[in-house]
Amino acid sequence: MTPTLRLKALALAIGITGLVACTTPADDRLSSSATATAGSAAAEALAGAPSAQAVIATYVAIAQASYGDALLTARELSTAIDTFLAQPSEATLNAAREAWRKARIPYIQTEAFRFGNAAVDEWEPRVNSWPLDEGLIDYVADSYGSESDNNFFYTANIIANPVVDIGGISVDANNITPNLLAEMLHAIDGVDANVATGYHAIEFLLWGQDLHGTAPGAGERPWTDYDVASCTNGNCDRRRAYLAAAMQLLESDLDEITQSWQTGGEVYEQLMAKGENGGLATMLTGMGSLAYGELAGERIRLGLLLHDPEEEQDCFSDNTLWSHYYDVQSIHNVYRGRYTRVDGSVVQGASLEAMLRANAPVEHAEMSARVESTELAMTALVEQESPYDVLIAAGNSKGEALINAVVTALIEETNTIEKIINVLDLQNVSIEGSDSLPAVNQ
Amino acid sequence: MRMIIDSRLPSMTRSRLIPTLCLLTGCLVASPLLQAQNTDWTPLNLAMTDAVVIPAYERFAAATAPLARNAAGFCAAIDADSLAALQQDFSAAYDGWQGVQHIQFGPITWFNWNFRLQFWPDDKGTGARQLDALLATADPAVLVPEAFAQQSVGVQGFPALERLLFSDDSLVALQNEPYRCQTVQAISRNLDDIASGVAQRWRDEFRTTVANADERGFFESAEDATIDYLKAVVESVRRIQQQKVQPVLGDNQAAARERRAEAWRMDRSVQHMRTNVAALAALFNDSAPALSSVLQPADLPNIQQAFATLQQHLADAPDSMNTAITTAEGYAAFKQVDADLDALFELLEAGVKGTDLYLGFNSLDGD
Repeated sequence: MTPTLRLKALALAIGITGLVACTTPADDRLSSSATATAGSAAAEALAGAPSAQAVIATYVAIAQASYGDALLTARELSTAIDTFLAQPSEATLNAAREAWRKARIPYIQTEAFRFGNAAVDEWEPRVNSWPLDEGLIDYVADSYGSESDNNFFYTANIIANPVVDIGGISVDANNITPNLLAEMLHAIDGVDANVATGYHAIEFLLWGQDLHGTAPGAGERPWTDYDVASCTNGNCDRRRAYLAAAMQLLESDLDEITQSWQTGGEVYEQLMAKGENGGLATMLTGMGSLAYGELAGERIRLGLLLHDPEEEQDCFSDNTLWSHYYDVQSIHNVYRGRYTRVDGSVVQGASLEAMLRANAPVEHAEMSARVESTELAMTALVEQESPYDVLIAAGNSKGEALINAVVTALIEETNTIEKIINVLDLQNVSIEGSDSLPAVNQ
Repeated sequence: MRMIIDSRLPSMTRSRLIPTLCLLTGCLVASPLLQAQNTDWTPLNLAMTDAVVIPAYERFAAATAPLARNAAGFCAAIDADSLAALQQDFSAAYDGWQGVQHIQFGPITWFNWNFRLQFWPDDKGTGARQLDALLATADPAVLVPEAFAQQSVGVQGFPALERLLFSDDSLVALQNEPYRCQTVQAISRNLDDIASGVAQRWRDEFRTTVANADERGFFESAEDATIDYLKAVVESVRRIQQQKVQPVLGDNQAAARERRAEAWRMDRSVQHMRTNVAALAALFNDSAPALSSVLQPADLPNIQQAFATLQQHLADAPDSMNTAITTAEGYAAFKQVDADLDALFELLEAGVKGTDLYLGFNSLDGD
């Protein structure tokens, strides 16, 4: 039998179980729901390997809780922004910034759910696009430059310009609305760096450009940029409208994805339709793709290559180290089947880790070591004093060593995730629309 | 879409892991062992290395040497002729790189060499911004080789030098700004140092690593090494499509943007792609044994045909991508190339799925 035929036979076998499962009511498709009781992981270990179905159920429960927390904290951010716009001051601006930082914590922990779930990956650019050419949105310093090979809208400055006509595209921005941001400006002219919406657009609106280069210090946008009475940098009314519209969009986008993870929602149904192997493959794809190409590569390694302060994910707020930290948590939440919610309660259940511990002790031991190394390297990074853009400065060998330790650990962890995919025989499981397993895509 | 990670992720064969799989997935049928593949991995790896890879790196190094040599004497008397001559040297060196650009494992990943040669695509225009800052600072100490190697990759490689040599005002600017010309010299020398370094490391060091891949040092196995060669072909087809073709074409002709092409200032983006695809075909076919032998024989005719079609359409396409995309006919020619690349990738991907080989996560993941 050729490998291809063997896989077809296996798929057929799985397909039959899937068919039986699909005749049962939706809510019963997950035979074991994750619970908030401590000690269930230990119980699983004693009872032997958890079923794939139970492991996937935990995955879904954690996703629902994580996106739910992201929505909850976005609503708190929205309230803080409302207060700031109603009573602009240093204090209310700082409160809004603090709410943004808090909102990042649960959102970043959703990122391992992005890759592998096609509908999430498609939705994600609306809320977390990065890097951005912020000159699209508002005023920028001279050091930003005035043109880009890639982007005609590099300095379009929508807040200052109610009407824009560039490269044959005209934009009527007289009314700054969520619809204008989402449908017209976001990724305008097919350029990903034209980020008009999401966390990083809001971050730019709250902090402004970080003009400290690779020296300490974040963006220092004055609160008076939003004070119509004593307006700095012009167009405060339009800036206020932009911030309010962007916030409204973030909230509705998060609401949409949270719904989509519920029974009957698009993401949930797509995941269920993949069957058990497809579900496990989705989990591991999310872990590996985030660890490797996204986090180790795009978000971390690149900074060391370019030594450029713009090459950090939360570059306006200097919150980057914490975003990286919670990305690692996100990967490990999926692996351990355990998530600590913003209210301190714990969602946990049958885990991939328990499945491996029972059935593939070699890979389990290797993965345990990898998880520990990555967390140690990441903890060392957040526990030192310097922000990320200082660490990536040319000639900062201490910063380079700290960051390289994280990159190395993430690459080794991805290597082990590949071994787990092998040991679970998921290499060729098709997860429709995914960008990562095993095809080269994106 | 940028490819940032260069450290290799060893992949592995599944066969030694098969016995545990039913325990884990609860499969209902006994899983037969995979058919053993009759490939002798090390001779294949060495054949590709000796017949294709090392010669390509040697051609690259041979092309950067004249660039560095001629750049060294360039700044004394700059005129239109001497600039044109240096532009020629630059084109030849860039072509040399295009012939090995797909090989993203081995010495090219050491010392950030690959990114220092070419940081591209540069979606944020970071290289341009940093080059402007470097020229404005005009600090001679930065151009000393040891220091220059530590600068941002955005100012060290082909894209930065193309900008310096092929901008509309290059001649006047180079004549009037000595530091700008010294930067041309620094980048040229840097490119040659790297190209000769990679060729030498392949010859003197990495060939031995490939020969001993079964000793579980750098590679997990000789088969694991073969996967890197295979990845160089398969991933590159997708990369050419997603980085060199699609961003230029946009969603429709009105959205086409020539400045997103790899070498729009010198307008050699098409020649680059011809060189790339010829290099992929060479790595796939031009050794004995050949890389193509790892796929099922039944899958090969379609793959070879897809290679041939793509090469023909690239040969037929206009030489200037900059002007071609402004006409319906030229635009259509590159839409065809886009479709050809897609077809070839799909066939290769399906071919790989018909084997024991698992290519693993790829570095193109990410925003």
